Amino acid sequence: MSISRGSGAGATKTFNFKLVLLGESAVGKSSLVVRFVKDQFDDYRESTIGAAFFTQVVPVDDQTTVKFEIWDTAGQERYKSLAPMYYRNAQCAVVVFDITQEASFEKAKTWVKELQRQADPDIVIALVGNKNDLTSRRAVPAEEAQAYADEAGLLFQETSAKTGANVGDLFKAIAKKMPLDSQKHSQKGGRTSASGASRPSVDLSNGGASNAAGNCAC
Amino acid sequence: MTSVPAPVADQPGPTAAATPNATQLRFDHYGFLATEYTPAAHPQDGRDDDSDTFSVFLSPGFSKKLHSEEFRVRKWTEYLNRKAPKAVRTSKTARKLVTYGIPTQLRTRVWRFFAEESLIRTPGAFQELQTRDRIPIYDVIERDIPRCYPDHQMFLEEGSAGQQHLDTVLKAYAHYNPEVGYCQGMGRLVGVYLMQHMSPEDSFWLLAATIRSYLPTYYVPTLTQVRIDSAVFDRLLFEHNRKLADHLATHDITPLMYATSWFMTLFTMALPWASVLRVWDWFYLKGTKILFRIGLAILDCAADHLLAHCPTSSEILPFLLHIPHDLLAPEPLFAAANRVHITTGHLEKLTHQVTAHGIPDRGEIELGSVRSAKEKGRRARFRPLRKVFHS
Repeated sequence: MSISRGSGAGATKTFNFKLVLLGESAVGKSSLVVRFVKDQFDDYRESTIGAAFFTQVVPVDDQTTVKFEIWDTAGQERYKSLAPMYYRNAQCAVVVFDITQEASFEKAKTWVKELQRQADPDIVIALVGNKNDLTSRRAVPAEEAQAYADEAGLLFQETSAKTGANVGDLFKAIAKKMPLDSQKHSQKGGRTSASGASRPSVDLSNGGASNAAGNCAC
Repeated sequence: MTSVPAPVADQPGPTAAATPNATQLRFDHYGFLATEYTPAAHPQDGRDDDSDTFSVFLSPGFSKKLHSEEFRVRKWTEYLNRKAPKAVRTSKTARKLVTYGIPTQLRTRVWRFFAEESLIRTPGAFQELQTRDRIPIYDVIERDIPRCYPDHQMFLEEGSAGQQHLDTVLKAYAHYNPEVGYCQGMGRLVGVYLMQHMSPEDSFWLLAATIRSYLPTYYVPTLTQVRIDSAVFDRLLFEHNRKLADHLATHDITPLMYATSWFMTLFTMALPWASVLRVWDWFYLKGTKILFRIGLAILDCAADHLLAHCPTSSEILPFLLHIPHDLLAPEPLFAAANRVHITTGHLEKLTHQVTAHGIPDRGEIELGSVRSAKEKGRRARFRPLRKVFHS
């Protein structure tokens, strides 16, 4: 993550975090992020091929703002082979399932396991049951998902990208869960990069880059 | 050159007419919903092709002849009737002809000719495939049908003929080629065929022939080819546009992040439609080499903005994933593509290097021999290969 400071009185600090959305195809990952970022909803969105990218800021308090850089990934099983590129170095993940599709909940659990095994050990994971406007077709009881989330140490929220219910709350809850210890993170520094890797320090990585460029200029 | 209005533009099909508020919807020349960002009635849209924009690449003598649509139709018809695809592929005249776009009335015939559809087409097979039992991948296909071209008048209404045809063709293909089954992205290809007024059966055989002839390992479960091609593209970009390659590398942006949808949907999600059809004409003539040429051309068209106005990945990625269509209209795009030179031999060499150390089941493919160099310095992997090998 990286931090930028505003100037003058009443300035706020902005913390950047990389967030990845994972989950079965057609559970509403893109709809969720479009609701969050643009406050829009379309009944049918084009399937995501590869991944889409968004940014959005969430004010946490008077002095603090979190900026999410969001990778919205394709859901089909075979696009899973590209997923590590997106969750590698992500500081937070939103794993989405569709409350009307039991199989999508099972798929969400496998994503959680993969993240806990392969991603950054400190990654903040939120489990999200989307489409909770379709209560008559509910197939996954909220209590069951909540119990699983508690057991696995995840944030849990049911949302509706269609009505907008709980979408803002979800991202705000994630923002509040992020480590906003400016002392610690301002020492870490680092740049905003697509893979979100926190560099040991700004100076080091700049030095490395210019050295490499120097070697190349032959 | 005459202006032949496409049927989709002037006579809204049954799909659009049946939609309750179809009268309020505006469509562009190609049948796509016009948004506030779309110039709905661009004067050039109604034209069958825009050959004058390409004359700049041709010698004055030859271009005179090529300017005549009658001449171009005659030439393509001659190829279709008398030549083998291989002979046409290497013909310089065909290369020049294709820069004008294949005449609309011959377009899908020419695509089928180059894809060698006749080699696999079997009467009755498509009908037989439709009688097969339901298989699990049907669930995935059905979820995607309403999400394939939801902004096109042929497909936007639930249960429309367009959606049904997509469903039929994709399910038949899943049985026809179980190794591939169905992969997101394939629907974008079938949609293009249906938009060209091909029947479901013709669309099926052209999909099958296209995957067989050009993209045999693109849609397989491990997405092998797109990962190989992205690694090759990374190399090519370094060789072709060093400044931009360095800018993207500095922010850890790799081709898999932006070019996956380019390759998997043959640019249908990235380019304005006038460019899509022109690129497809070229692709059917010359094959997958065109994916690299067009990919590099797209980046060239976007480079000025990326270098001047996108200092971090927060600006680079949204721009790269949604490059404004006016930058990618046929004229600037093909002008850029004509400045990209890639030989088949060089592509083969790079592909060999990328695959020489094996292909992991998932994730990005990196050049094994470069991996240690990468650890020494972030930019080291962008040094020319020979230097890496000799260092």
